[in-house]
Amino acid sequence: MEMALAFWMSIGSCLLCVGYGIWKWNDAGTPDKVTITVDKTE
Amino acid sequence: MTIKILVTLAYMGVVFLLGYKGWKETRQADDYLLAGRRINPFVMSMSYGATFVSTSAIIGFGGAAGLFGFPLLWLTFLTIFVGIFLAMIGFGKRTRRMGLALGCSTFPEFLGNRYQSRFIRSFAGLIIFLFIPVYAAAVLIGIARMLEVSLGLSYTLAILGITAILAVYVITGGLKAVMYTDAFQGSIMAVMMLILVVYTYSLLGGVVDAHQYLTDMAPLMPEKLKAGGMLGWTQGARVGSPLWLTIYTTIIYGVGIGVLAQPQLAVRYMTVRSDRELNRAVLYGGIFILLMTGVAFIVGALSNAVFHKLFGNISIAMAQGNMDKIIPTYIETVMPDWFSTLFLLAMFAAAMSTLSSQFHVGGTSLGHDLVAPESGSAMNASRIGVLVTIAAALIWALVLPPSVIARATAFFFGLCAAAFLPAYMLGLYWKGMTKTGAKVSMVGGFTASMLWLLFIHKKEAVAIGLCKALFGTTTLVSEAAPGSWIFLLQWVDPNVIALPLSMLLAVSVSLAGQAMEREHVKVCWSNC
Repeated sequence: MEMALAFWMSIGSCLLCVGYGIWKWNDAGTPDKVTITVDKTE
Repeated sequence: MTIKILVTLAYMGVVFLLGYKGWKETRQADDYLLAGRRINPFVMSMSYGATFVSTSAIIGFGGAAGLFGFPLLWLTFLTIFVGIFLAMIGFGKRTRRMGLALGCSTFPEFLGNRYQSRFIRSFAGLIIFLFIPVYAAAVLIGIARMLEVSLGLSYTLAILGITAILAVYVITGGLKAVMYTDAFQGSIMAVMMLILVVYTYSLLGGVVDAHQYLTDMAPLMPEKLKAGGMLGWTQGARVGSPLWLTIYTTIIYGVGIGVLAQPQLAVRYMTVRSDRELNRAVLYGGIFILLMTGVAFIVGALSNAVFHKLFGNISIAMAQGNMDKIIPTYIETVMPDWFSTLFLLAMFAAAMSTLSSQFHVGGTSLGHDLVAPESGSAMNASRIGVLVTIAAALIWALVLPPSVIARATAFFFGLCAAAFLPAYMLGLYWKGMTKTGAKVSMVGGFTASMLWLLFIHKKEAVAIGLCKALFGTTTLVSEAAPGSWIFLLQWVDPNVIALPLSMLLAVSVSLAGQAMEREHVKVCWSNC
């Protein structure tokens, strides 16, 4: 039973990844505001 | 044999061509360290997946599945859900955005800039540089064992040959060469694993019959494993038994969670242009990892059924007691000749894709983060670092004992989680996380992990022998009442203790200490 759950959850998580990828295929998110190099070290 | 050699040479030819393309396109440090931050999502996800999954996963953990059976499928679930879905969405997007705002090229540099701390950057770089050769050695051992079984090459010669090839394109071509070759290698791996699982199920009469056959084999489980708590290959282990603790705390928890703080994977988030590439990479990555770890663990477990059906023996007996030889033996004795030739390529691909990334991240940690953090010659310093990392991995590969692949991989994943995960995760999401909190968490997590490993965790404590030398006992808990919870601690992975401790230290010290400069935090969050 436990192993069957692991088996199906593995397949389910793969389908989740596929679904998310298709859903967000063209979503680039908000554009980056800052692309400068900041190197603040002590 | 001739065909095997010819196919291998053709494969090497393509790898060199892609390595050459990477070298031609590498003109500045950003190209060498971050592949110019303009990598295609397919290449990124295949590179991420092929780096994540190596011969360690296929030969080492596949072999572990041959011994322990289907409980390893929990690791498949975690590698997909945590290693791809949560990692790319929860960690990848923020790492890319914050890394861009802070001008970071490596994982230690990311942590160092996030907390404005040279110590954090150097400490992270040092841990990676010191310990990634152990993980790389585990991968090297995997492919060398495969070559030993398939081509009859000597183990030492195989190790030397592979590292020489890798050295050429990693040192010259940097991350571009690594990622291009990774994508090619990942594609070969995916096709081969698909054929492997279909063939294995067909040998056993389909999914249901195959699983039933394996279930019925439970009485054949070796006595030694039964004594450790194993019930069967589809039944798993008795809860709380030594083998249950090893399977769930070291193999499943250690690797399944440790993936989130892997420096060689985290750096890939910063190689793409926007969130869009990461979204697409989730799709490719999810399928790829299922084909890799899912197939390796299913076939590893089912190899018992196939071997029993064909030869009347279980896998570990067929592999002469060496867990690392279960998958190579299965391929050589069960699969058709043409497949064993191509599978050898897939294993080459799996090993080389991971090794190249390990050498690259070890080298950049030494060259870019430890030795020359402020110099303009990050590329040359990193190249020398790669060379040193390769030499260290070679030495480890020659001295590590048999059946070590899965354990050495789990060790590195666990160590990274304990040392880096709280500082990395909270650094991405919590504005109140402080420099001191990160320092204490990293040092505390690392120290706890090492102490547990040296004095409590039986496998390493016995092998290293420091506990015996200092206290006259193999582990500090080995003289407790057998079967008591204190006695069982010697099978509990260091990460079970070290990661929660590291997290606790990060939160408590940050809450008690002074917050970081508002201006700096604002810069960190400027793209988020």
